[in-house]
Amino acid sequence: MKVVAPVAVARYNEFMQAVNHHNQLQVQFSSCSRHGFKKYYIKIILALLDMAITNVMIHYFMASPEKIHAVESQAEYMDELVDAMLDKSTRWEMMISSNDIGQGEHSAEST
Amino acid sequence: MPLSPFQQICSVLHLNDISNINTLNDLLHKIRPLSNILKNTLGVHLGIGMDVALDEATMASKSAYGQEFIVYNLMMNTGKYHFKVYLLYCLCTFASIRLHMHTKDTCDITDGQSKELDGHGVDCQSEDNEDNEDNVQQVSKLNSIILDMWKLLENKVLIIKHGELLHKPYHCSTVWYNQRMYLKSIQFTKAEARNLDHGSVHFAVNKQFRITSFGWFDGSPLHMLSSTADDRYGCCAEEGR
Repeated sequence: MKVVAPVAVARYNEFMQAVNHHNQLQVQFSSCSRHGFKKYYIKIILALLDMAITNVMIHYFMASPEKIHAVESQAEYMDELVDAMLDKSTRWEMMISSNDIGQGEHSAEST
Repeated sequence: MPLSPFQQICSVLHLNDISNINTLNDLLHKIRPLSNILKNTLGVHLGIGMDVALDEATMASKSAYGQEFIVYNLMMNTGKYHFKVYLLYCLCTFASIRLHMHTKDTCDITDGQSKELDGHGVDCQSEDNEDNEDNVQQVSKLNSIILDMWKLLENKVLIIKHGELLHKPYHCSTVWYNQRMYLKSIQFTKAEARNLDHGSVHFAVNKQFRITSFGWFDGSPLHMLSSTADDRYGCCAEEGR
């Protein structure tokens, strides 16, 4: 059955597809949605980290598309991520430069 | 890990040194290093096209602190407060490429932009940047957020000129029917909802502001606002149930 709809509805569904897909990926292994914290900024920090982890996962599956079709692909990705983070040979200070932290208006004032 | 060490770690977890008084001028000083890292690294490894989607996400928290974030979202029925963040998504890869925290002032708009613009090797002149910053202050807060996110895209310098958007983004969103100032002529009454066929549409177009408002009935009424007022607000066929 076909239903006539305005173009705006079709375009809205098309553009919201990215948002919904990202949220769907983010919820499955979310560290902030099912935990309560007394300090508000910890909640925000964990939510931002969830978003970053989801972005990394998207990059991971883009680089290795054969792993997308595995049943527990997302769990395997989380395992690999944890192994990489616990690896002592990883030098985190080389990956993030001081420029990435940003010296915006407020940071410049502090210095 | 046992629970007590985890709670101990959470109790001392912080990202920024707040001993410096100058940092307290920033409303986002608690999360500023993390937000700047994400702003500078989220969209770096992606080829971003012009098809992007802007959406807001909320983070529920029981803490009533952080009033600088909670502007519109007062306490919900669940007893939680909601922090708001605007996110820009890429349509091809579903990745988020830009974020913007919702605060009372505009402290999150201009921060970290100069680093990002220079870091990508994009040709942008300093005069243009100054003009853009002036224009950002002239437009409304929501438009300034959109402009802030659009600067990530290519030809971003050309987007803003004389305080107006040359390439206007396409706005489209659903609205509640009981919003103030929303047209009642396009709303579906209960009697209409029983008798109307699927796909019925009520249109209203504001030619001055180029805004289309319409209600669409597909089992349940849907009310939307769209920023296009040209031939694109015509009808098309969509697969239904």
